[in-house]
Amino acid sequence: MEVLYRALDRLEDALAFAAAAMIVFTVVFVPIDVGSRYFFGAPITWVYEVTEYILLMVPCLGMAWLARRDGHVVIDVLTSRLDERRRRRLERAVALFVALSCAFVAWWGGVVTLESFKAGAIIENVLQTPQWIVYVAIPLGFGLSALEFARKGLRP
Amino acid sequence: MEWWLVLAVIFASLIVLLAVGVPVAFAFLIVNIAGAAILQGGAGGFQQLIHSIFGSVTSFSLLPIPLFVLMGEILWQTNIAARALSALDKLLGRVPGRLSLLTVLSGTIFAALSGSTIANTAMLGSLLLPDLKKRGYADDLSMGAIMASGALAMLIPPSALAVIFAVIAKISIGKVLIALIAPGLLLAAIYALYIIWRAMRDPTAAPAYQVTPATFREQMVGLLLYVAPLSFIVFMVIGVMFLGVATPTEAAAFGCIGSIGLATAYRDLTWVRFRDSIEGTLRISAMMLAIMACAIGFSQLLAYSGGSRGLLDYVLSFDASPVVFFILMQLILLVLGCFMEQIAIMLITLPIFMPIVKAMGIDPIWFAVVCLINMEVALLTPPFGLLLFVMKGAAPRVKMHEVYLAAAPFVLIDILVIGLLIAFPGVATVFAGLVR
Repeated sequence: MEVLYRALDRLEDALAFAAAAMIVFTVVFVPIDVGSRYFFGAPITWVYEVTEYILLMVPCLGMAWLARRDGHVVIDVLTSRLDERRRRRLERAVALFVALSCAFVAWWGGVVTLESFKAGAIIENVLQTPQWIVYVAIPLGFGLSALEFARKGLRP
Repeated sequence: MEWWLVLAVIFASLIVLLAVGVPVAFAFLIVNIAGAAILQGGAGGFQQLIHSIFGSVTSFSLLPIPLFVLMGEILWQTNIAARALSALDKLLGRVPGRLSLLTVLSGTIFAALSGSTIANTAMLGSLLLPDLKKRGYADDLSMGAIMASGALAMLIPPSALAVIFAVIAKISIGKVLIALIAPGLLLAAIYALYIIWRAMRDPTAAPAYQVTPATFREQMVGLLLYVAPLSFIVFMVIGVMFLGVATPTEAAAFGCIGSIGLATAYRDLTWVRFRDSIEGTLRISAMMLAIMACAIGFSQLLAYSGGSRGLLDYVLSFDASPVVFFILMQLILLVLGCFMEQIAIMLITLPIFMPIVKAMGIDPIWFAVVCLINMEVALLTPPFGLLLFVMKGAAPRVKMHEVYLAAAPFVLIDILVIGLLIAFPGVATVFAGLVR
């Protein structure tokens, strides 16, 4: 189990790193695009499009990493009033429930992505990006999050 | 099923999920899954849900969220703020409540450089609280002033929450951001007046102290080197939007370049600090975007179920004046603000409120500004205002009720300003009308 957990950590870190790199990408390229448009009248047409995909990638790829570090906002108005033992029990039940719902979304995300892959669907835009390349972030992100919440739920 | 029953079931299940501690993003997700299963009949609905996750965040207009947060992180990780503060310190003469005024002044400036209230408050706390305590300032003039000026980061652009509001409400992001400048400055001015009045009435609350006068030369060097360059970043964000040169998203990217450039020019941006800023940005923006991705389907669900339409017709059947509804909606937000965090409040209320606002002919920008000030109050209201806990974290030996009391005068000022804006909508929309 320890080995699996460590593999999960690594995978989460790698995806989070990718998400961070994408944020840096937008900081660098959006101003270059604007500058190029204003000063040379030549926008870098694909920046806009890639940026939009990044906005899906960041939350998906960062989701499981964030869950491990308890970074998702929780409204603990009521749960913080429970005693330690009951709170822990509730937290574990909630984590397992969230894991199930993430797995559910990962499954349907996988279905949609696979169908899109088979049909060869593309996103009608400058780059003519195959749809599945962007969509695959959804089963990936939610799938890993399902594992992460399952770990939280099963932790002794 | 009756519309009100559908609506009640949807809201009740969401509130139960939130109450037992399901993270906000996933609480919305679970309700949306259930909605897709029941109202949209299984498989087709689930596929629709996946497409809505894709569609809800892949929008260029959402990019300011990570970028505004990054600006705040860079300000927080580097010493830009500390230097500007000490330069401002030299500029400020002998005034009543001097240190508190310095807090509000620098907090307002930092708010124009940062989109994160937490970072702003924590920064002001670590820079100013020790001195305020040492000089024996009263709680409201020390902790209160820090929390109130820290909260201004939510209003004065760059403001990530204003972007989220505009996206959920489907109104112009640029106009909301620009419109927030005037009320933000108005709040800061009234905070300053309150501090002066308080310090003059009760000198023990803000003991006067000997200020070593800075030479004119020192003042000018500080002003030119450490304060003036900040106005460059402010221009990069607010100015280019105002002039119509760039969209809010492009302005945000320029702001980031400006912050990074300035930190580099001060030889302040080490690799470690840059990495920490990016990591902090990823943490906050992935959290916000995950909520957006999972929750936008919620307003579609409300529309699809006929709930929002039914409620709208019901509300309109009352034939009351728009102002009554305006005030009623603000009261609802104020109460929710005591218990919930802002994005969740917006996602729950705006799909219901915005159609009402539209149908009643209320100016949506005016409404947005007042709502956002209201959400700002939520940062400071007990029992769960976020900044109260940030303050408690910065001052561990202080009791929680002392933090509550310290924030109280500023909460009253905020509510006063909300009243003012309801009475004089012009204050809220004066700048928005000027945007090209």
